[in-house]
Formats: sequence, structure tokens, C-alpha cells
Amino acid sequence: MLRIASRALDAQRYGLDVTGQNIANVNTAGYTRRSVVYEEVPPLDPWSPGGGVDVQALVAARAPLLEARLMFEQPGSSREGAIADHLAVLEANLGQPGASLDAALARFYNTYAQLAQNPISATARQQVIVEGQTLSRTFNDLATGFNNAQLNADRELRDTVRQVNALASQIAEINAGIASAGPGNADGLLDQQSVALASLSELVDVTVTHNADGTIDVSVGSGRSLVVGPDTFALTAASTPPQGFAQIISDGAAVPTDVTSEITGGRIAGLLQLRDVLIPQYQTQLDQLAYGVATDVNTLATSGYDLSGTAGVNFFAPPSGVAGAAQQMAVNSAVVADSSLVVASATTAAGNNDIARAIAALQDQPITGTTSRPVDAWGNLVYSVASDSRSATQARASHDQVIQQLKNLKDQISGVSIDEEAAMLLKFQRSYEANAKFFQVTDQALDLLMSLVRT
Amino acid sequence: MRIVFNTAFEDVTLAMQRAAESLAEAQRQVSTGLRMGKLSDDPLSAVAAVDEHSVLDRLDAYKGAGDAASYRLGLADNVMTDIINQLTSAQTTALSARGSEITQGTRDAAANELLAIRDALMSDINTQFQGAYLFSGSNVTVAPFSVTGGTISAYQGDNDTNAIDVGSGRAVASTFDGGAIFQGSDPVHILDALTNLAAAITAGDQAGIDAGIQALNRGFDRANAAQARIGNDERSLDDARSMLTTMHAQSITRMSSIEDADLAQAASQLSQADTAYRAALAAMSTIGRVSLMDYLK
Repeated sequence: MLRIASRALDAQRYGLDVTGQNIANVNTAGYTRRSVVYEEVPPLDPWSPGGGVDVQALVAARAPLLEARLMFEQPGSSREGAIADHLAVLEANLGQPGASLDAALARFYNTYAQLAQNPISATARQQVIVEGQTLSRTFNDLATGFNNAQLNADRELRDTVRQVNALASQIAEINAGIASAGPGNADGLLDQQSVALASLSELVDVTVTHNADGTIDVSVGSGRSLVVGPDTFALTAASTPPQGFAQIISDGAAVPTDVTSEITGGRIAGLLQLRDVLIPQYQTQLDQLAYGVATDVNTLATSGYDLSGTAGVNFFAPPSGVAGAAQQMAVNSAVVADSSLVVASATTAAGNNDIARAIAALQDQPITGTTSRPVDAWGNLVYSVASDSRSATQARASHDQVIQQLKNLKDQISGVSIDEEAAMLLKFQRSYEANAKFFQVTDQALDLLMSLVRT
Repeated sequence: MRIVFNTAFEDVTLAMQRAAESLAEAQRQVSTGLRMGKLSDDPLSAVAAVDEHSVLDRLDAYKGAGDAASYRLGLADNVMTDIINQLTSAQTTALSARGSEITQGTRDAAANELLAIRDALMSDINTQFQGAYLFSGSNVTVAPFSVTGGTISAYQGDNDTNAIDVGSGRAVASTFDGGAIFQGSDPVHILDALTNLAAAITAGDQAGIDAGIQALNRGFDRANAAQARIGNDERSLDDARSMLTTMHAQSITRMSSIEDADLAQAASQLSQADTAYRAALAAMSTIGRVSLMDYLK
């Protein structure tokens, strides 16, 4: 009887321990609530009522289907999140309507309209140069903003690859721990594995294979191994020409393989989309606008005459091509040095204003070779950035909503309920008290028996 | 359904963040009066705002050009009025000096008056505005007429007059062809014609006087025609400015509908958001306040 009581006290105290563990980890990320499964100890002989109770198992309330669904949903949210985060900064760089490149364009063209009112005015000529320089600087700043955004995306991409490798190493170590602990003894490690996998899936979309011993194998892209049991096959961010941007190389194949194009989810995919697709599109739009503005103004300027009646020179330093035109844009240094070189006249007469009027009118005409006026081209760029930013923000919100619901469902299964644990405390406390009483009664009975023997 | 502390906490935290976002957005709209805080709030409206700002900038530029053109046309109109008055006086003086019964003294006085009118006309035609000659065509740095050694030059400007754009597809003259006004298809310009007329009057040359009067008449007609053209431009400018004022007001209205917040609605949203935020805060403060733990002794 004492044995039954002793075993029962141990079992109920274990229940109290597990409850305490659950309560202690109520705020631990990834913690899965545990519960004790008891079993009756069978009788040793036909006349025995039984051997009492023993702990059969400690069960973690896992929700594998929901975890898998979360793993599927998370990369999409992170991908859109990366795009939204970076585009929010880029969007701010574009400035507000009426206070950005559109205003600089309007002021530049309108100073030519003012010059047309008095083509020999030195002040009006100087004003054209000043606004030309302001316009050029605005183009330069915007181009720098896009370049910086691209560099920032690349920098974060490299950091993220390092984080992926760190998490891969962590998962490999956990795998080793699970393998050595054996099945059923690795609930804590499995929780850590779940947390590490969730973190990894935020960075890159991975495929996970669950092994019978509780370990997992993880691959990226088209089945490129990242973790196999206790082994890690790191990703490398390799700088490649012409811009030196990082391409992602996997060691998880027979030979190191560029898997950049195979990554479609997670923060890395978002950063790649930004760096290699979205920002280059914006840069091209800006460059085409800068090239068109500079070329159209130069074409008219060189068809006219300056204040001294000499054949006109380029107002802007001629761009070498569309690529890089915004970054290179500048007023011709000769014009900056001598405002009489600003071309307003279509004839050798200093007072003719036909070219000044024609340049002012460029703001109302499509840029040569396009169907868009300069302000329309700028509006298109603004729309591209704003709508991409909005789409990414909305997509992230949509993914996050699903993720939150899935997390709630998972928590309903795996999370710790304070009320429930309090009830369990009460249950185990009462059980422990009852078994202690049983022990006391047994002890008293034995005492009585012993006293009879003594008398 | 199992309710766990973390789920409730995360749900309410999320609700609190959303309520705070809504409150901040409503506060921004009310305090700034602007509907959009960033471009991505409404990409289509952002593009419309870019376009509308461009329209406003252009209208402002046209307004500035219209003001400048108005000064120029007003000045040119005044100059032409004076020229016409001078030519009228010259016609009267010339006619009064015509006839054989006029004494030499009267003829000399008339001739001197015509020469004075000539000088006044020359002063008129050489009027400058902001350092540029108004009646030299595009050759604005050169006076239309000058005197060297008592001889008046030929017209020194050109017939290429400038225009200023004062509206979309609407331009008015900003310089004028002094040669067309003062000479036209005549063999000599009006200033030389007056010199010749004065000489004819002094000499009692009736044929010369008649020729001079006819030249004055043609000059008068040309000046009237030129002033009529200036008047047309002034009327056109008035129309353009009136249209610009209307278009500016329309553009401001469109801009307002694109950019400005509906303050009544924004204030209402602010009130709602404030209530929602307070409710979320209150909900947060109730999480975990009571549990079974409170009843365990």
C-alpha cells in the first residue's frame, strides 16, 4: 500500500511540475503546452487491486497541420513586407505632388516663358540657369535615392543570407540534439525547431521534410539542401558584375549553384524583387524622362542663337544615353559661366524670343519619341511607385490577417491557458492531498499493527 | 474553444495598434486638412494631384505673362495714342499752312511746329520697356530711329515682332514693327516726310505740301491700324485673363477635391477613432485581470 501511495504521490507531483512548467512558459515563443498521461500500474497477482498509477507519457499539444500552413503563409507576408518597407522610404523620397520634380519641371519651363517676355534680360537668363540647375539637382537626387534604395536592398539581402545561415546552423544543431535525445524526449528541442523554422520561413521560402526521428531536412529553391540532419549547406551572397550586387549561391548541390532566380518567397524574394525588378524599372522611367527633357531642350537650343547672335549651344550637358541620364544631368558648364549663351532667339537678332517660347511650350508637348508630356512621365513614375507600395502593403496585410488567424487557431491547441493550468493545479493538488492522506492512513494502520505485535 | 492568454493579448494588441493607426490618421487629416498623407494612400489621386499642380503652375505662368503683356500693350497703346494725336496735329498744322495767301511768318511757324511734332514722334517710336525698344521688332537692343548729324536714320529694327504666350494657344504681341507703322510701303518714313513737309511749307511748295499731307494721312491710317491691332490684342488678353481666372478657380476646386480632407467627415472619423482607441485600451487593461488563480487559496 505504501508503494501505491508513494508512486501516486510521485505521479501527482509530476503533474504539478508539468503545470508549473506550463505556467512558467506562458509567454515563451514557440512553447507547446504539455500534459501528463497517466496509466494504471497492473496488479502483480490476481488478488491484488493493482500497483497504483504511473506516468505513461508527457504529451506536447502540437498542431502540425497549422504549423505547416503557417510555414506556407509566412514567406508571402515577409516578401510583401520587404517590398512595402523599402517602397515606403522610396515613396517619401519622391516628395509630394507640387513639391517635387513636377514643380522643378514647371519652374524650369516657366522661367523660359519669362525669358520670352524679355529675351535680353540678364536676370531672366540667370533665372533660367538657376532653375535648370535646380531641375538637374532634383533629377540627381532622385537618381541617388533610387540607387541608394537598390544598395540598401542589396545590403539587407546580404544580412538576410547571413541570418538564413545562422538559422540553418541552429536547426542542424537542434537536429543533432533531437537525434541524440531520442523520440519522446525532445519536446523542448522540437519547440525550438518550430521557432527556428518559423523564423527561417520569414526570410526565405523553404521546403521541410520531417524525418521519423523528429529531425527535419530543409531545402531552398528547387530542392537545394540547406539542412540535412546535423549538416548545413550554407548560402553565399556572391558579388557579381556589373554592379557588384549579391547573387545567392547554394552549396547544397553537387557544385555551387546560383539559386537567386529560384527563390520566390520570404524577405529575400522581396529584396530581390525590389533590387532587380522594381527599382530598375523606376530608374529607367526617371532616366527616360531626364534624357527626354535634356535632349528636347538641347535640340531647340542648338537650333537657335545666343544673345550675341552666335549659333546656340546645348543648355544641358548632353546625356551619353538613356541609362544614367538622371544621375548625369547638369547644366552645360559654359552656359553656367556665361548667361549670354542661354538661347532664346531663333534668329541672330538678340530680341527674338521664338526659341524661349518653344522651350517653354515643351512642357505641353510629348517628350520626343514618347506619348507623354514631362509631367505625365513623372506622374507615371509616381503612380508606379505608389501603386506598387500600396499593393505590397495590402498584400502584406492580407497575409498577416491569415497568419494571425492561423496563429490563434494554433494557440487554441498549443497555447497555455492560465485558467486551465489553475484548474490543473487544483486537480493535482487535491490528488496529491488525497494520496498523502492515503499514505497517512496506511502509515497509521501499520503503526497500529506494529503496536499489536509489541503488546 | 480554448481561450489562452497569449491569443487574447495578441488580438487586443493588434486591435489597439489598428485603433491607434486610425486615430493618428484621423488626427493627421484634421490637423493638416489633407486627405492623403503619402502617395500610396491613393496612387490615382496622387497622379491627379501631380497633373493638377502642373496645370496650376502653368496657369500661374500664363497669368504672369499676361500681366507683363498687359503692361507692354498698355504702354504701346498709350504711345500709339500719342502718335495719332501728334499726326492729327501735324495734319492740322500742314493744312493751315496750305495756300498762297499764307504769310512767310505763318509758314515758318508751321514748319517749326511740324519739326517739333517730328521730334515728339521720334521720341514716341523709340519708347523702351525694361531696357528693350518696343517698336524695333525683335531687334530690341537698337532704337527704331536715330539721328546722326541732323539726319534721321532709316528704320533700324526688323519686321520680326515678338509674341508672348498668355494662354494655351493664345499669344499677344510684345514688340512692334516700327517700320511698318512709320513707313509701310512709302518711299520715306513719316519722320523724313515731316522734315520734307516742313521744308515744303517754308518754301511755299504747294505740291510738296500736298504730298506731305498725303504722307501724313497714310501715316495716320497706319498708326490707327496699328493701334487697332494693339487694341485687339488687349481685348484678347482680357479674354485670356478672364478665362485664366475661371480656369484657376476650377483647378483649385479640382485640387481641393483631390487633396483636401472632408473636414466634417474627418472630424467624425476622429471622434470614432478616439472612441475605438479608448475601447481597445480598456480591453487591454481587462486581459488577465481575473483568472481562476484569484480563487485558489
